Amino acid sequence: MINIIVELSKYLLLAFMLLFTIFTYTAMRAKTASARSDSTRAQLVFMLLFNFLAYAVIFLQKPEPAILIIYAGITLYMLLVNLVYHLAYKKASVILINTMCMLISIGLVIITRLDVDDAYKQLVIAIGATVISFFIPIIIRKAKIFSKWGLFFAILGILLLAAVFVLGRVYGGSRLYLEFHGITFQLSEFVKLTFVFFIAGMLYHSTSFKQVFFVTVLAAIHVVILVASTDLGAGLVYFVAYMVMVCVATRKIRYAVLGLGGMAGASVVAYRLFSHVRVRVSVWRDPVADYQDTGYQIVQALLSICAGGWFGTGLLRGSPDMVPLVERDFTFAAICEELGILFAICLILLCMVAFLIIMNIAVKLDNDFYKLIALGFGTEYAFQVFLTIGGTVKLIPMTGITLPLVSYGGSSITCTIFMFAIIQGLYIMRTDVDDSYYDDTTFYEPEPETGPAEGTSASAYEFTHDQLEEQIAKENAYRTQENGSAAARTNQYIPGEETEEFERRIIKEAENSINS
Amino acid sequence: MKDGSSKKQKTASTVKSYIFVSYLFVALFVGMIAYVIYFQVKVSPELAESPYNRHQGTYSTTVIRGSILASNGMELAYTQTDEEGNETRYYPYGHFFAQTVGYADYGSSGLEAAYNDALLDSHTSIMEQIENDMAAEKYYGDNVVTSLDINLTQAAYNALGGRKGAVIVMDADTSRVLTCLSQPDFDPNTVADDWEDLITNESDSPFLNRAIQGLYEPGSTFKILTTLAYLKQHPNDWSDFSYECTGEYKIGNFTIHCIDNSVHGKLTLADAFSKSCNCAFSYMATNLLPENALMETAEELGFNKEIGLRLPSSISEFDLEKTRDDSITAQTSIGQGDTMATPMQMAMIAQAVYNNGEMLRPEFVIGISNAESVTISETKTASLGKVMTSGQAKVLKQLMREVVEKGTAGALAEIPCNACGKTGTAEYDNDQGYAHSWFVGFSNTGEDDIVVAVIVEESVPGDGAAVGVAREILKYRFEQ
Repeated sequence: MINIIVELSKYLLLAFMLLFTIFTYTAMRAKTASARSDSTRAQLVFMLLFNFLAYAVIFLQKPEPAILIIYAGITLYMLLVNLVYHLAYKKASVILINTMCMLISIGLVIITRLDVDDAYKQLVIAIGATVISFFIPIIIRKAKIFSKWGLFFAILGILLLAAVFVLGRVYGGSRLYLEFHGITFQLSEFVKLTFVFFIAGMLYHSTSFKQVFFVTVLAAIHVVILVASTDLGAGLVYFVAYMVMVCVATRKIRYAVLGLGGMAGASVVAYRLFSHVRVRVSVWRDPVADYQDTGYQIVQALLSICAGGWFGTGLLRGSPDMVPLVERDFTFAAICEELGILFAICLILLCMVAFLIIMNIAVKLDNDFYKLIALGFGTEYAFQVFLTIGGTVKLIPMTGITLPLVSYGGSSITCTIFMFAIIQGLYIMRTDVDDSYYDDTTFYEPEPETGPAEGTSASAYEFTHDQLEEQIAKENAYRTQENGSAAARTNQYIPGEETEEFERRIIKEAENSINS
Repeated sequence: MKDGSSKKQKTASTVKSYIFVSYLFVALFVGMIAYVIYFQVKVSPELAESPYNRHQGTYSTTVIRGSILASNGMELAYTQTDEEGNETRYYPYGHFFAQTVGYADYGSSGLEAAYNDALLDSHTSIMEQIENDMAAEKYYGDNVVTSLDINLTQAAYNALGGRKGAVIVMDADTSRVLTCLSQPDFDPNTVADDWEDLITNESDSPFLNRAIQGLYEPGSTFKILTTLAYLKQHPNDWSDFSYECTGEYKIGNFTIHCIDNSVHGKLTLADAFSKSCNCAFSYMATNLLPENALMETAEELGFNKEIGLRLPSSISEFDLEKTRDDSITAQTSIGQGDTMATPMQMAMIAQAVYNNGEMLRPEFVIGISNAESVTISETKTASLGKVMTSGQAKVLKQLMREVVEKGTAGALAEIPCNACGKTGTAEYDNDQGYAHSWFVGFSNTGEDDIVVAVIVEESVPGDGAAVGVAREILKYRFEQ
């Protein structure tokens, strides 16, 4: 009897996951508030069904009371988080809340299956972090002050990373953790937040070459410390976030070219300099070559993925525990083995949608500092997902970084919850006259033809694409014409250094002329 | 913009750069999904066969190991579950298939190990699975259907009569293995109990599958290769070959003798081959063949190469290059020197001769079927390439026929199967003057033909022990 249930549960869990992903997507694309809330309600339903079935299957095969406690905990957690945001922050993005809860619960199911004690710890940490994160939107209201603290955040980040490098506890050959009263912290996770604040703050004030250079030096110090302390994954995540933020803030693609060139150069240097980098690369090239030692973990992970097939072995029917440190480094492999490749593909899609929701929020925010923060977090999140999953399936070398919200690891889940809460806080703060329109994320049509989809009033919103093109043409004309005198005119603008403010002023003038 | 009071100020280019970043990462995600699918479709099946894969063992908690079947559907290995749910693996034909079918109780070997995955995979219908679920709580694993022939194997077993040695019998048209016998053997039903004795028995090495893992000097059977090398050099005038055998052939200080010191007199190629004249072939290899001809021919026929069986097999060895010396060349040409071959290797060469020069990969397994005998997958015949022209194959067939008609394998002449073959004697280091006796050949009736390779260890040189075994096998096949 249990066999049938486990066998059927594979397909049902996949169906719930698929439906959840589909409704997340439709909620994001929904045009009206009611369509959106229908979809978010469906999200919640499938999330609850998924958890019920998953824990039922685990409990039937391994009847330990702790499993019921975890099930009750995660279910209450999902409902309460929804409720708190509903009561306290009406303007928050429910889609993002649900997506976050779903990712946490997928992770928790697989961790429960691997080690009930770890799952319990993970749940407690997630609850704690979420309770703290409820206050983040209040704090973030003062976020504008933070824009002035760019340098402070940079120095804080560097000091924290340096502290780990010097004092850190060696764990599995890497010096990534700082121990404090018996609790270990992976500070590179926390610094991920300050890093984005630092870059956003500094670039918000100026995008002059001098400033970009200064930002680059400070960011490089972060990355070098991380690479030296063998935290390659975090180093890469920081680097990509830095590059994307600089390119978007300056709107100069040449920084990306320079950045990629710099990264290629730095990779070669790191490969020559650090043996741990060479080991990662050689294990990636041929994991079987050093099977007994360095290749063992990845070979076991790959075999674990193979064992599952399209639909997986079913929960508790595979042997993902043969992979060393599976709940930390190879959660994705365990998911592939027991829940199947199709489920894993849904998970990748869900992570992608989570990223798109964040980017969508970034586009909607009205302040460039906020926008950059959301962009930075979105980039960090997406790239970290890419590094983890790509590393697990051997598309790229393994960098030993967690799958955000899914993998076991207190620091990682805490910081990702904070990250999502900050994004919510920024989103809640958006100033809009038409509240009903903004009661949740609306997918920003990605076709360039649509132009800006927002405005303060209905009339402004009726802006057509043609009009916009006209404005830009005007703007360009204006700029060429005024190039020499612009500096004199605005006093603080140097020719060739086109800041957003400059552009906005021009556009505002253009708009006014059109509207009148 | 720093005032942030107006949303109108958003420029198209700001939005565009965010959309650009979104697209970039969406591309990254899509690429990742594409790779995961590629991994599942392409990489996964190869990886699953890796010897490091221990994940397969976990299925046994939900699946009853499938059976290994003979070509006639009889069970060579099956699992029986008693009332308490204890499973026991039985091997009804124990000794006959000991090394080939292997065992799965105490570690695993043979087909049991090679097809572990398939045996623990279940392709029964959903209804059947649900029924089993209700009743036994376990599924029936798939069955591995082999081409092994129980009766023929028994005939070979009886013919070998307890002597050490090995027999390979394959279907000549498909290279499917009908018999893969190795003696001494063991009883797979009691492996766990006999373990200590079995692994310490070094003189008998019962676990060694001599038919595919045993390496022997090929002796005169190697003259098939030397002849082929000569045919390649003399495609049209090979019949002009002539040699006067005086019973010995001198190369420097080294002298080659014909077996039993016989003197063959004037010989054509066919005579030299059927009488297995060592002197003629030594002369041929040292005087009439270019330097690398033997090496090239041997490697084309599969020496120094993995055969690609799913069972563990040895690589037949040929090495002449680094010790190039005429006396060594002469010895190599008659199957002595450093050359080593498995019975399987020689059977494959005979099969290529039969099959007009095209060598097929030997297969033990016809296919996989589920517990309800519905075929899940079939093994396709795989060509290993055209290793000689059909003209060369035809000549070799003719020469090998003469070995039966008027040469060393005369014992096969009476069997109505138009047998062709080559005998051999492989000397090895021993005090009693024993040698290993070889026969490799095939029946050539045009229908249901078989390839036979036999080695009988420790026999009296020239007693034709291997031909005798082949005779019993062919007799069983064609006289009953």
